Amino acid sequence: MMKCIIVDDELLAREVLSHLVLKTPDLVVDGVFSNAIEVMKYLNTNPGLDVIFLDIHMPNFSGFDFLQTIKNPPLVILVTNDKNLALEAFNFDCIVDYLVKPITETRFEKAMQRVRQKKAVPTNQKSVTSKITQEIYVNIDKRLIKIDLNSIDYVKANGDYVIIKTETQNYVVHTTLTKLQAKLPPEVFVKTHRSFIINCAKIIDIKDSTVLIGKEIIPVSKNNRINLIERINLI
Amino acid sequence: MAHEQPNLDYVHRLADGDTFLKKRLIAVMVSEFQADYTEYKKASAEFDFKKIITFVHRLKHKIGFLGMEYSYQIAHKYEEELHKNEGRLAPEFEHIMSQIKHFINTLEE
Repeated sequence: MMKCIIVDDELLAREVLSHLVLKTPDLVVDGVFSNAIEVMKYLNTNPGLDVIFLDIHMPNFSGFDFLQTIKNPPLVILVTNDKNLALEAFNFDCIVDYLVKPITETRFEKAMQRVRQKKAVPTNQKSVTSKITQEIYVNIDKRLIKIDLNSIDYVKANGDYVIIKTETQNYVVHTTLTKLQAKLPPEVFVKTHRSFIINCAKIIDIKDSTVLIGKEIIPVSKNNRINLIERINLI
Repeated sequence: MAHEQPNLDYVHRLADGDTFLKKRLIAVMVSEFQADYTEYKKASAEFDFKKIITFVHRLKHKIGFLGMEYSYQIAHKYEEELHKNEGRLAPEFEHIMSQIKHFINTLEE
């Protein structure tokens, strides 16, 4: 049986999470907290915790602040209203998943599968995951230009080049979509079509075989649709 | 302006026939919505952007809880605007709040 705690300043979120944990046979709630400060005290006297469901946006002391202060944290599932923080979330090795409110039962169970997989791997066999960078450098006209990954809307293949579309401008880079995809965090960037990779955090809506990002309609091929649906928090 | 209506589809799915849970979640949602909205109005009157952002963020969760996906996007954009000390989407957000208040009144009747 795994032990978890729930940390969220919103009672509604705490109630929903408590219910979802209750329906999970191999998980039990050991504590429910409305702020991260209380959790610090709890952790000092309660070793052996397996999972923390942690809200990011809390007044005074955020979930990320909390994670930076604790040593040897248990596995963490982030809970948030904000899809745009996914990149920052994956800077922490202890974070196994990222749930966007309102949380569905299906998505919660998927997160728990990730916890079980992590728990099943002995510590000495765990791969050393390097921190995912927040930016990439691209070579344009003999200059290495830094692009913030959060700012990328999508990437489009165009012959021997790719066009990286950001919130403010387009970058034309001499490379292939496959090479560029290898540099992007797969948790956030998904190939929707042989010519397109999109930033999932920028999706406005998905309709039939297209996805809307900003004012652009991006095609989604039949083969890539499943990958896309798996990445989103579908109710 | 958002034309979608608040609904309880999410809570119905979550409760899966558990009437007690359904009532409990709705009661918590109503109570937190009213408290958050009061604080939002207070912060707006005082032009306290930090607090406005906090309560828009909290209210966004209730908008999502009530299945208002388009309104959720509006609230999200409004929150992003507020981080830049802008608030052009305030009227749209207020309209969403009115819809929810009206919906809550129908629940309480």
